[in-house]
Amino acid sequence: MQSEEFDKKIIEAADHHHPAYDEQAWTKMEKLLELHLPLKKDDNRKILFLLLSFLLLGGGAWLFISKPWIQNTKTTQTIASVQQPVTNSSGQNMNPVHKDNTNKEATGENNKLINNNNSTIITGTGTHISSPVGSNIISHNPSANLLGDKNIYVTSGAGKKTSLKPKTLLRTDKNVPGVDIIKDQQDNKAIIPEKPNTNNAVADENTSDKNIQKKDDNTTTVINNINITADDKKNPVVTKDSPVKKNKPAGKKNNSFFFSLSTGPDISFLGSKDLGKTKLLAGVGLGYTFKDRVTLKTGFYTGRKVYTASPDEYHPPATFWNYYPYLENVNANCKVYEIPVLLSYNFGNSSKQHWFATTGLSSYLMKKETYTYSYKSIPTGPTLSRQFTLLDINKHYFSVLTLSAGYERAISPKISIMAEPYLKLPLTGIGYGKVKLNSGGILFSVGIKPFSSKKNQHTLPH
Amino acid sequence: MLSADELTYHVEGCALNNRESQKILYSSFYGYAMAICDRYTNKQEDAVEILNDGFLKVFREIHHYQPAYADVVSSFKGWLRKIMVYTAIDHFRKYHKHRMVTQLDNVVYQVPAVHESAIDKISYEEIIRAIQELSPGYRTVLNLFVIEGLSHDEIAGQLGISTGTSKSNLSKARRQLQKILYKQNQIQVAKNAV
Repeated sequence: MQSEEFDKKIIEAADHHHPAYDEQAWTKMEKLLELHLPLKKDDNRKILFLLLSFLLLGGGAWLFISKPWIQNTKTTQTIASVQQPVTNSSGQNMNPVHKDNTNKEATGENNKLINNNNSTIITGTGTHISSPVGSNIISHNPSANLLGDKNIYVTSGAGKKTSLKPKTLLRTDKNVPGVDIIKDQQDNKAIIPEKPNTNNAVADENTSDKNIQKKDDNTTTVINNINITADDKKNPVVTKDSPVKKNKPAGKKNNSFFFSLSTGPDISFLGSKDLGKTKLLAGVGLGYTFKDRVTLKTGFYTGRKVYTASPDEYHPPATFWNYYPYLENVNANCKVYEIPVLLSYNFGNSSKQHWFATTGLSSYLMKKETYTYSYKSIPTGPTLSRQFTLLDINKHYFSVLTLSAGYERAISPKISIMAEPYLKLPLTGIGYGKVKLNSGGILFSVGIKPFSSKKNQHTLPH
Repeated sequence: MLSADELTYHVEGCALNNRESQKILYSSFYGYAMAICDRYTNKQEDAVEILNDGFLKVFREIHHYQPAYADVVSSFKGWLRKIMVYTAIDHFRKYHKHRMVTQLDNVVYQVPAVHESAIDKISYEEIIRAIQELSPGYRTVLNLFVIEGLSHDEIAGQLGISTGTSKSNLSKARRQLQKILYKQNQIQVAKNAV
């Protein structure tokens, strides 16, 4: 009896004994778990992902610091500002003498004249070209006809015009000062119009063109065999008023760094069955373009994957089915962080717009997975519902193939906009249920090239 | 203590080797499990070792766990208790096997009779401390027979001893416990009857 009471007391003492929680005990437990039940790690992919991100960031930082494109720009400007010397066949410097008191009449982009006298040359299109005696006619492109006209008229000081055959206006030969030389293309003869006769300044208005022509023919002096050297034709003449034409060196391509802000609708689906809900995908990206053609880019995007899976499409751990032997369907709502590494190719040569195609691999970090299971405890029983949430459990590195194509248009030297439809196909099962989670949508982005200038606008960021 | 739904949720999480769920389960049942473990040893670090080894077994086998009855929490506690007891037995077999007494001693302890009022004055903590002070063999048999409710045959099978040895150790455990309590509280008990 007493023994029984004593035993009873011992049992009561044991039941009432509750030691307080000790955090240090959990610390030891954690070490034991790491040893015997380590967390699943995908080391190779994680290391590769970290290495790639490190290289990209390091390259971007180096570019930001060194800025190699700025040196190239300065060199180009220096070359463009040097005035090329112009000489004739005799080696004389043909650079024009600029006279501040001259009257100037611009006739177009490539031609400027210094007019000191009354004689004029009018082209068939009505362009008025002054060709005064004693002045210099300067052509910026001596190999071309003035404005490409078929008819050139020579007018006297009285205002009468005479039609001439297509001519090539040349720089004056200083060996014959004060004389304008017009070279006939057909017979290689130079025609020098004589100084107009002021006594006959008032012409008969009824005089026909033929009469004028004939009269001009009688008064012209033909000079044969004017030697025009190739150098004269080729060397451009640069005046102080002409803009410095900065030509892009042949074959030069640009590299550039950029970042982008993106958003757009995203829809998830399994196989070819019902589509899930459309959700918003948003994020930031950064990248680098090589030679205006190839772009390497990465970024960070967040979105939600909402879909419904049938039991056949859901592949959780085997023990799952102990709890849900009669599963009907699974409704998933997952918050996903996406980190893509993409390679893009730009089509076209326009600096304003182009099309591009992209491919690459993305990593899905399943931030929060919420699954609502519809199931029955027995086949004939009612349908029950239970929710299950996982936090930061599943990570799929380089497990999603991304395919896209898009269009990009620059709205300023540093900013462009783009639209990019895409398709994402999983290479492995995604999430707790290891589902084949496909995604599709359109990404609208604003690209910003922070180190760009107007002079260097050759590459569109995307 | 966790509710039934919370327990179910974290059991599922532990089946997936989720650290967060494991910690929640560990902290929630720490007191219950430690109350079992520290009765089998007189050192705190040994008790923690038994506890952690027990929980390691729990986490390893939790994907096989199925609630035996409707009360999910009680069912889990019973499963947890069994694992902790067996882990304590393993610990004893590992460190104190050779200390088991193989035959009855002829020594009889002369102690005064215990009055009911005297037993009531003994606190639970004193009894637990007294149990911890027992010899390892006595302590183990006392715990298994009196608290866990195992039979002498089952105890003999678990500890690798004979049934007689189990009975002998239980008798001695009671006497030693009473002696300890007597020293502490001057309690007089009757002669031990096997």
